[in-house]
Amino acid sequence: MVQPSPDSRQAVTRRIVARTVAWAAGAALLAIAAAWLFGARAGAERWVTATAAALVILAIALLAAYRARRGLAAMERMRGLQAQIAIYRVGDVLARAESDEELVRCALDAVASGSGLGHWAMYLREPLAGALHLFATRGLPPEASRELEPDAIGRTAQSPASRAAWQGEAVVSSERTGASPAPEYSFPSQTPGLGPAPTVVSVPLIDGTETVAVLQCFLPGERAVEAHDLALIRWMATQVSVGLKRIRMERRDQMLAHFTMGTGEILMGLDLAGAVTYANAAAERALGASSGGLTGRPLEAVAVFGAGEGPFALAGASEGGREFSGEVWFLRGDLTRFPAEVRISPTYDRHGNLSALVLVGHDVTERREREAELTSRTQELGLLNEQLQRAVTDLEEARRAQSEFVANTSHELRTPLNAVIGFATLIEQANYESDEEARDFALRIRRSAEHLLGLLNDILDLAKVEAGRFQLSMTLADLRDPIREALEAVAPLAAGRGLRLDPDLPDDPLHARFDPVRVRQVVMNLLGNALKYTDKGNVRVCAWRDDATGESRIQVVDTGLGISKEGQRRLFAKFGRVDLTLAGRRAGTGLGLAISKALIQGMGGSITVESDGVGRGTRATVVFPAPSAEPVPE
Amino acid sequence: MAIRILVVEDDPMNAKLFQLILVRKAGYQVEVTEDPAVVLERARAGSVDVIIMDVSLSNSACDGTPVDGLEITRRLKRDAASARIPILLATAHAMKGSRESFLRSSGADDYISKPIVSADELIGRIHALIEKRDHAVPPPPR
Repeated sequence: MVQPSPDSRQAVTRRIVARTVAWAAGAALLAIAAAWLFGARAGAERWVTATAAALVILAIALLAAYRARRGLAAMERMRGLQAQIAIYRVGDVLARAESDEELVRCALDAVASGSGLGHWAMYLREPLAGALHLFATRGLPPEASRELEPDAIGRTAQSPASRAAWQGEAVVSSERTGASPAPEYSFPSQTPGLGPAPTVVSVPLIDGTETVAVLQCFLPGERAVEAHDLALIRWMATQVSVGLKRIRMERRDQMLAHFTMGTGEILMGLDLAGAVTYANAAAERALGASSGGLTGRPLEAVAVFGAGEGPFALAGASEGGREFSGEVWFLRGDLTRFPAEVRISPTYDRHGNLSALVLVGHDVTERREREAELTSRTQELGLLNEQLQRAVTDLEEARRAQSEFVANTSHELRTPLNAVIGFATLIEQANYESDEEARDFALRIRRSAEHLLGLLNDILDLAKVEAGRFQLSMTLADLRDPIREALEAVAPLAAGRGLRLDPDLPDDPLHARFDPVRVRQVVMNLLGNALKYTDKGNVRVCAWRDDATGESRIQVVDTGLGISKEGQRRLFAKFGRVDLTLAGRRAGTGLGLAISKALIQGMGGSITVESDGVGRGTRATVVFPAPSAEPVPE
Repeated sequence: MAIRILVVEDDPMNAKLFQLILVRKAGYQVEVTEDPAVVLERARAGSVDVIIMDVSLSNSACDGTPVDGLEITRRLKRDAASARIPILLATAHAMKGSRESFLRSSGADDYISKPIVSADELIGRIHALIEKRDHAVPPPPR
């Protein structure tokens, strides 16, 4: 391949002229020598000699002219070839260059080598109609860069580049054409092959309506700017413009590809029928797993919409151009599924026609889990809070009951003490009218003291039972035994009050698990209550086994005063004596039923006291569960 | 004319004791009851000089609802006919703060806790109440 020098046209012309002159001179010398030889030898006429010489010279001149023409034609062909090659090379560069710098430099080199236009400058404008800056030069001395830096684009712009950018069309600045640069602007640097006052052709590169760059070509000042020069420069400007645009678009494509492949969001392109035309890496990862790619599959195969939403979403987007936004279940390759928020948006071609759909999806599994966790935590906390509040309430209730118990205990102890101190003082001060009365006072003191003792014992019992330190000796035994013992113990009291005790016990043993000593205490308490609050009639005690449940029951029924509804509520309360009108007969402490209840419950049983009302008797029932096969801890 | 004391007390032993002390040591005329109706009736009739009132009255009721000494005191003090009669609360409820809360909530004139350790103190307080009510009343014969 011919490697043409930058200024090949002038060199070739010079070479051809030199060669033609040499040919002509050689041929003339040869003709003169021949004429002289021929004339001398033949003695021919002088005119013949002159004519012959002239003919020879003419022939030689014709030959030289012919050769020169051929040489010129060859040179023209060469030039055309070189220009063609240059254009191909420019095209090649435009298609391949990877950066703006590379593109401009190589394209200018290529065009310079083929066209003989060797001096170029390229200016780029900052984005958004910013300032114009020199970007690259070719064939210009380094110091030219400073001189070339253009002034601001505008009506008063001086530099050719800025004027071209402002006018949006090619500007030719030349001293010879009169359209010289403004006086303030000159290009004084001496450039080999260019001269001090070159002609400057500035062509704007326009993208849409905006000048984005300016290409400048410098021609020697003495040379006319020909039409084909202008055409070439304009062509060059267009080519560079296209090349720059290509690079920009490639970069954007790469970036977009980066985004779509790198993002964790699920991105899919869909055609208007709802089939997947594109799926990014995240989509393939999340959905494609075992199905060999998403492309070509209908969206319904991988996404489950809410009831009635699916067809509507796709139809809305593909027909109405409406965007769909909502939650779907995406199906993975292994048919498991996950919730996702998706948005399906229509896209349009350059004519504004609906062309495709774009789906953007986001896996919300984690968020759902967090929400669920949060909800359950909140519920847990609420539950905990409730428990805490209940515990606080219970504690307050217990504390209140405790202090009430202490206050009541104090009251119950003080009342008999009042009698003890009072009657003792009366005796001490001999404030009695007879010995008999003194004995009565002493008796009252003793009774009060006995009552105090009973109270003390009961309080201690109750404290032990409630603290769980009451040792129950549970055995499997016959319930009739402790009942009989209790009956014997209260028999004198019954006799004293003129009441009849009616035991009604079964003939066969009544086995249950209980603590015999404590059951006797409870039955005595119930019998004592019944006798205390019954004036006439009888007190009946029965015991039996409930065949249906296997439970053993003891019942104490009296025909006494009975208990009002209000009284029945307070029955098991500590110091909850119901009626003290019978105070003369009472030795009760108000703790008996509370203790009995705690004891029976400790044995696994229950105790209830019922009455149909005041004056209608009372019915106390103790129930023991059916004795289980398993041993009860003693 | 002897000073008339109405003792409102549910415990017969203590009622008897009050009666003995006040009659024998102070020469008062004493009536014992635990029936609110009787109390109100005697007070309105003006046939009583001082009321000694127990607080816990297990068996007393007015119109079917149980009432205690504090409630009876409130009713007496509300009624203009009986408001001037001095009332001495005598109770075995003697926890810390009982005195103040009972006096404030009932409007009673004084408070003495059981057991009553000194009969003289009891009589002294009754005397003071009567003095306060009526300066003309002479000290009771000892």
